[in-house]
Amino acid sequence: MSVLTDKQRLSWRRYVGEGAVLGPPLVFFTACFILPLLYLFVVSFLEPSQVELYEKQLTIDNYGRVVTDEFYLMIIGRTLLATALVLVISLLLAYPAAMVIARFEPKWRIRMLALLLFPLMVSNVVRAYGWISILGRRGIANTILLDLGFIEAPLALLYSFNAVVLGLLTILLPYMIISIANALAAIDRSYTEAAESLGAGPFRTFWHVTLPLSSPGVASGCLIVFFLALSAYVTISLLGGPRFKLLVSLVFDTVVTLQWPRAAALSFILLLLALAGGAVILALTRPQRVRGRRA
Amino acid sequence: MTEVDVSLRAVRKSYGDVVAVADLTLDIPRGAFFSLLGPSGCGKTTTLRIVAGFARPDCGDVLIRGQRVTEVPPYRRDYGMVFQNFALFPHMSIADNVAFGLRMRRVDRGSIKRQVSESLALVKLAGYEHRFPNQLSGGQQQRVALARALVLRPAVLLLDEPLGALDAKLREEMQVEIRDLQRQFAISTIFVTHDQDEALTMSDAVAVMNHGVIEQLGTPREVFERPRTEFVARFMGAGNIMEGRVVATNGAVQTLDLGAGSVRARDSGKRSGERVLVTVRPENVSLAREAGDLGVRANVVSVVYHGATTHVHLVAGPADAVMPMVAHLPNRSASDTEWQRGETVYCRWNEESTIFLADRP
Ligand SMILES: Nc1ncnc2c1ncn2[C@@H]1O[C@H](COP(=O)(O)OP(=O)(O)OP(=O)(O)O)[C@@H](O)[C@H]1O
Ligand SMILES: [Mg+2]
Repeated sequence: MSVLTDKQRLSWRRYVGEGAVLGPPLVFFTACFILPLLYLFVVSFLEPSQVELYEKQLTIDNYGRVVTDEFYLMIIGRTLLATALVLVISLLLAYPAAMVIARFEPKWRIRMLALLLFPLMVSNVVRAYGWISILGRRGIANTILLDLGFIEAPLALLYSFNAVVLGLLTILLPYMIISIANALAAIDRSYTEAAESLGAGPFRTFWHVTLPLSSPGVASGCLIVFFLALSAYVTISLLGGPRFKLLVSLVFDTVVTLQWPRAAALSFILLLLALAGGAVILALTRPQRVRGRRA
Repeated sequence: MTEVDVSLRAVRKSYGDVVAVADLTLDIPRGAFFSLLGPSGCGKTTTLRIVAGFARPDCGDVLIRGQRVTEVPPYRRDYGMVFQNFALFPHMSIADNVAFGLRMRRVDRGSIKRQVSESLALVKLAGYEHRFPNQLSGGQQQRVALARALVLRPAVLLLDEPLGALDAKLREEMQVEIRDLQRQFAISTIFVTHDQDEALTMSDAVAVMNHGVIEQLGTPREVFERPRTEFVARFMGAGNIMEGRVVATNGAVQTLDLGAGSVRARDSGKRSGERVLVTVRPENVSLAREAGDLGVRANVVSVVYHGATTHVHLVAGPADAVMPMVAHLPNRSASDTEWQRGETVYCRWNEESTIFLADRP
């Protein structure tokens, strides 16, 4: 005798179906990401060793050193400042651009967004070297400024905070624009018209309706830009050079000097910063405001 | 003289080659429920958007309560609007949605709160203040949209197919509710619809639009019973369009020859021999098997049972000029005649039922 109703049997079948679809990526994700991460987490609490990867001896020293050492703290602060700046500047530049793009009809909008993706097809390495040839001691910028007599000696443009921020911005701006433009284009015209019909002028319509309704796009754009900025190793190391290091550069340096437990601890601090930053972004943009939008 | 809340003066709007609204002139008296009725693409929405200020006319003028507002932006015009998809702000609670217009007018908090509760009570949604739009049914969302527009006591209420998103039963309920609210506020209303039943049941006046032009403006009764053009007749469901000639005038009654037979009509002022275009509503047609002096000879094409009525589709006239006709016969008793496909019948109606239409252009 069956105790399942038709409906239950149907939903049971659906679970099997969904399981079949979600299964492989889930297994892959667990095997290649979750498990190594757990392993890394354990390693970050082990003593370093001269001869092996680590000593089988628990300690919190790897973290303790980082949070008490002024050098590490300076690097963490600098990392947060640089990524926050990239985030804010890209948001301020991207939003107006996205508003313009979102106004075009779909055919043209898609072409413009595709055009924005174009630079992303060029490797980060190539683009970083592009900036080096512009900002270097004998780069285009210095040459022009020298020739025009604005400066006496070449400026140290490269290997600086500005160079890293500029490099990251050029890579990440398209993500922000695309994300916001798509969100803006998806806002039904009737919402802004309803606001206008209720007496809201262009500015108040934007502030009370357009901006909140675009928050999912702003949130996803900010998350992408923030996470990529935190982890953009190539750009940071090529444009920051030895003088201007961020947290990812430290992780790399620690790995190549074979201090595995320390590197693991640094990675987790980076991950923690990413999670905290992500939480702040979500708390500020509140994309969940736009619940149940009807077509 | 009654006051006019909205006037359009020779308003015209085209998009590229498409003339959406052509030289439209219209006055909506205070408190009237006015419907713009017409098929898809005839320019109803465009007309409404011109009144709202979302579309700027190429020429002509728009007046609201006597003020020329042609160049005034939407947010400085005195109207409330209900959109087809309701356009409730999804990120705001019901109370905030209704309060939005009051906030924009910088009404003080206490009075906003009071007016919001009053409005929601009026649309029977007291207690829903803290819900969000996606937690309401279609009919409830519709009522919030109405409350949001009406709370500002605008000079005009603009409704663009507000019932299109609702199912048939709810539609009928909302028709009554909208009409009640409109009467209660005595607010001039422009109602856009492509549904003739809706327009007939709700309106004080109906404008039937076609290709950006108002073909006929009148009371529901006038446009339904006395269509003046072939388009209006067809749109109102009087598909029996017949061409003929006046053959005799006898006092107030004329005899028309429709080719497939003769019918009588009230004197139209047309003289004998003149060509005429006439129609008759399907409900007014009766069928008989016997030939007589009067009656249009036709063949039954199909018989469709509709409950209260049976629709008999027919063709009349010679092979080179067939006239499709339809008769809606009341089903009164089991002894009603059963009409058979293919049989020859005679369509008759009394003289008042013959409606003269403007000649084909
Ligand atoms: N923004 C626009 N750009 C180009 N053409 C438009 C625009 N708006 C309307 N039109 C055209 O103008 C004509 C009238 O459109 P309108 O929306 O007023 O029709 P409607 O009577 O409201 O039809 P429906 O019942 O389908 O809503 C149509 O041919 C339409 O294609
Ligand atoms: Mg329309």
